[in-house]
This record gives sequence, C-alpha cells and structure tokens, in this order.
Amino acid sequence: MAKINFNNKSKVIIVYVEIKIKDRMARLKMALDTGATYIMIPWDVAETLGLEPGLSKEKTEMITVSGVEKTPIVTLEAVSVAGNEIRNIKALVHDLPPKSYVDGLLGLSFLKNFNIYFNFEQGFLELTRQKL
Amino acid sequence: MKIEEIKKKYKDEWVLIDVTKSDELGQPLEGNVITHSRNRDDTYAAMKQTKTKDFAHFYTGEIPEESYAVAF
Repeated sequence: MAKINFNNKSKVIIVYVEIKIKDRMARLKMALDTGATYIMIPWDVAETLGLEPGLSKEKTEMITVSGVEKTPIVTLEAVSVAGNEIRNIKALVHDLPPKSYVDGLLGLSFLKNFNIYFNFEQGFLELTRQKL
Repeated sequence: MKIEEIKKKYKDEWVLIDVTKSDELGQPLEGNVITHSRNRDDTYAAMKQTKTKDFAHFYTGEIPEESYAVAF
C-alpha cells in the first residue's frame, strides 16, 4: 500500500506519475481523474519518449467539454505512481490547456488496478494493488 | 538544485529538469534545470530536444483558488 499526500485545498488532486519507455523516464504532474477512461499524456511527451502517436492505428472518439474528436491511443511500457507500477497500459495522446497547470490525467486505465482510499480531511490517498 | 529552490527561483513557471535525485515515491528531489518559461510550449519544445534519460516537467505555481473551477 502506498500513501500519497495531496493538497486538499487545491481544485484538483495532483500526483507525480512516472512514465517509462525503454531507457527513458518522464516524471509528470497529472490530475487524478476517476472520470477519465485512460491516462492522458501530451503529444510532445509521447514523441519525446519515442512513441509515434501520429502513426497510431488505434484511435478513439474522445468526448470533451468542447466536442468530440478522434484521439490516438498508445501503449506505455510502464507507468508508476508512488512505486506502484503497471505495465503495458493504454493512454490517450492529447494536450490539456496550459491553464490546467498539469501535463495530463491519471485515468482509469491505471487506477482500476487499485483500490483507492481518499482522505480529504487530512489530504492523502492510499493505493492498494488489487489481488489478481 | 533542490526542487524547493527551483520552485522559488522560477515561481509560476513551467520547468523542465534533468532529475538527479528522487524519493522512494518517484517524486524528484533534485535536478538540473534544462529550461524554464511562463509559456509551456517553450518547455515542451526543449523536451523534444533533450537527450536526458530521466526528466521531470512541472508547473511551479499553485492552481488559482479563487474564481476558478476545473472540469476535464
């Protein structure tokens, strides 16, 4: 079980997410979003890590507040939050607006592997890996 | 440079660092600043040029609390 502190005064819950592709690692701040189907990463991060979202054959229609758009899906070799690693995880490639102040979303493609306890009063959450 | 120093020196900016030390939770503790800017496009552009193996990208400020709501 991993305990992660967050700012309970903030508008969103922000956590550090490690994305590993081959021998490179990106550490990004993401908003934890139980309403998002997938992890979402920016185009530039995907390309920096050697992914080619523009060539991805897998796409999905993404429903946003501004409409519906086709968005590529890539597979991330490993994603880790507070030492909890999930391998071969799907992610959408899409840029959030700069005023979101985060690089992406930590969605259900990662979160569903855990049972999560939120303590908003004290500002922490606990991730417990589900038993397979 | 320690992360807290980076946050103070480049307050309310996007920062790209080469991570030199992290904690057991994977959060960067120290790093070398590759670039910083108030414009996120600048730090993203630098990211695509860097060859560093372990980098972190983040905004150093706080999300505004007043008159601001987030819906993803």
